Amino acid sequence: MKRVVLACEVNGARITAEVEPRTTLADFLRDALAFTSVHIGCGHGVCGACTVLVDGRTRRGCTTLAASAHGRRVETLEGLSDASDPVIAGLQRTFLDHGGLQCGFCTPGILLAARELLARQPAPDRAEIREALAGNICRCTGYGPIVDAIAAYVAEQAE
Amino acid sequence: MTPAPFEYIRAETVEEALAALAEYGDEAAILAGGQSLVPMLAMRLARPAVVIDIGSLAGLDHVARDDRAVSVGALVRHRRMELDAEIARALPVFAEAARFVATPAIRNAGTVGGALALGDPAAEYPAVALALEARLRLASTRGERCVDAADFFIGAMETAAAPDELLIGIEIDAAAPGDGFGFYEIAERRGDYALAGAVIVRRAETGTAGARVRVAIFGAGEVACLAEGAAAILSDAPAPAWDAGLLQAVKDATRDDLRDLALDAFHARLAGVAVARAARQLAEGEPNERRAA
Ligand SMILES: Cc1cc2nc3c(=O)[nH]c(=O)nc-3n(C[C@H](O)[C@H](O)[C@H](O)COP(=O)(O)OP(=O)(O)OC[C@H]3O[C@@H](n4cnc5c(N)ncnc54)[C@H](O)[C@@H]3O)c2cc1C
Ligand code: FES
Ligand code: FES
Repeated sequence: MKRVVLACEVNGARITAEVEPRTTLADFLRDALAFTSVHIGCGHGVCGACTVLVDGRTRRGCTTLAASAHGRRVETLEGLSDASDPVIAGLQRTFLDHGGLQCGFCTPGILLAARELLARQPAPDRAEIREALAGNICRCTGYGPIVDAIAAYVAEQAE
Repeated sequence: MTPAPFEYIRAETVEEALAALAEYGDEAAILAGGQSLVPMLAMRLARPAVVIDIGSLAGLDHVARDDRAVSVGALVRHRRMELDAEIARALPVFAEAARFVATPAIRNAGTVGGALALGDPAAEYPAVALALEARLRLASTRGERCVDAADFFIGAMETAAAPDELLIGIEIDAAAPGDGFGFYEIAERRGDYALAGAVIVRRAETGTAGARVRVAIFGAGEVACLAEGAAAILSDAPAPAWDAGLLQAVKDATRDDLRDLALDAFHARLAGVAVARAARQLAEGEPNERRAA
C-alpha cells in the first residue's frame, strides 16, 4: 500500500515520516518514536491506556490514525514529565503518596485525563473525578486510591 | 489489532471529499473523528479499499444561528456540543445528550456527522435528531439535498445516505420560550452505549396554550424511532398534570409503540421506564445530575 507523509509536532519536536495508512497513532508513537508511555490495552477505544494529547486535548491513540495527526501537535506523557508540566508533576507525587498506581499500565492515561479535568474544573469533587476518569480502566487499584491521589492534589492546590 | 491495508486520501476541501466519494463509492469509507470507524477497521469489521479522511477539512465545523434555526457542521465534535454556549441556549437537549456519548477523550474526537451517519441504534444523536425534527444536509457531486431525520434512519447502521453522499451538516429549529425537554438514558456504566434511552421534546404552539410533544427512543430497538402513542398522551395533557397515573399510561404506550421494533420485551420495558423518567424531568424541570468531566 502507498505510504503517506505525516508531518507533525511530537513533544515539541517537528517530525516528518512516511507511514502506512493503517498505522494507528499509538503504534506510531511507540514503535517509530519509542514513546512507550502510550500503552496499548484494548486497541479499540475502550480502556484509555493509549491516551495522548492532540492539539492539547486528550485523544485515544488507538482510535486515531497516525496519518490523521498530520499538521497537528501531539504530546505524550513523556513530553509533560520531568517537572515540565506542574500539574503532571504534582499528580505524579500524590499518586506515589496515595498508592494511585500498582502496575502503572493505566497511569499515563489517567494522568492526562485528570490534567484535562483540572484545566476545566480546578476543584472537582470525588464524583466529578470519577466521571472524568470513566474512560480509563484500571485493573489493579480499584480506583479508590486514584481518586484519593487526585483529591489530595486538589486539596494541596486549595491551601 | 491492526487494520487491513487501505489507500488513504486526505481531503482538504468538501469538493475533494465528494470527488473521491464519486470515484470510489461503496469501496470507500469516510473517516471523520474515527471513534467508530478506526475500531471497526482494527477489528476488521470494516474493510474499505479507500479511507477518505475529512477530519482536518476546513469549513464543516461551524455552529451558526439565524432567527429561526441552528446549523451545525458535520465536523463539530461531541465535546463542543456538550460545552458550546450557543448550543446550550438553542438546543439544550443536544448538549445534554452529548454528555452521555462515550467518555471525554472520545468526545474530543468524535463528530456530530459521524454519529448520525453511522446510524447506530444505541447512539444518542439519532434519537435527538428525530425528537428535534432535524434536517440532514447531504452533498455529492450530483448536488445537495435535505433529508428529514424521520426519513434518514432506516435500520441498524443503515441510513438514507447514498454511498457517494457526504453528510455536511444539520439544521434544527432553535428552542423557543415555553419549550422543554427530557433526556434519560439507562446504561450499564456511564459512557457505555445505552440499553435504552428516551428523548422528549416539547414545543410550545405559538398563539395557543398547547404544546406538541415528540418522544424518541434509542438503544431498545433495531433503529432509533419515535414513540407516537406515548407522545400523543403527553401532548394532550399539560406538563403539570403529568402525575404517576399518566406516566404509567406513557410507559404502557411506549411498550406498545415498540411492539414491532424492540429487540425484546426487556428492552421495550426499559424504554418505557426511560420515557417516564424523561417526562418527569421535563415536568419538574430537573435534568440529570450535572458533573464536570
Ligand atoms: C469506547 C467507545 C464508546 C462509545 N460510546 C458511544 C456512545 O455511548 N454513544 C454514541 O453515540 N457513540 C459512542 N461511541 C462512538 C462515538 O460517538 C463516535 O464518535 C461516533 O459514533 C462516530 O463519529 P466519528 O466522527 O468518530 O465517525 P467515524 O468513526 O470517523 O465514522 C463513523 C461512520 O460514519 C461515516 N461518516 C463519518 N462522517 C461522515 C459524514 N460526514 N458523511 C457521511 N458519512 C460519514 C464513516 O464512514 C463511518 O462509517 C463510542 C466509541 C467508543 C470507541
Ligand atoms: S488501547 Fe486505546 S483505548 Fe484501549
Ligand atoms: S495500576 Fe495497574 S492497571 Fe491501573
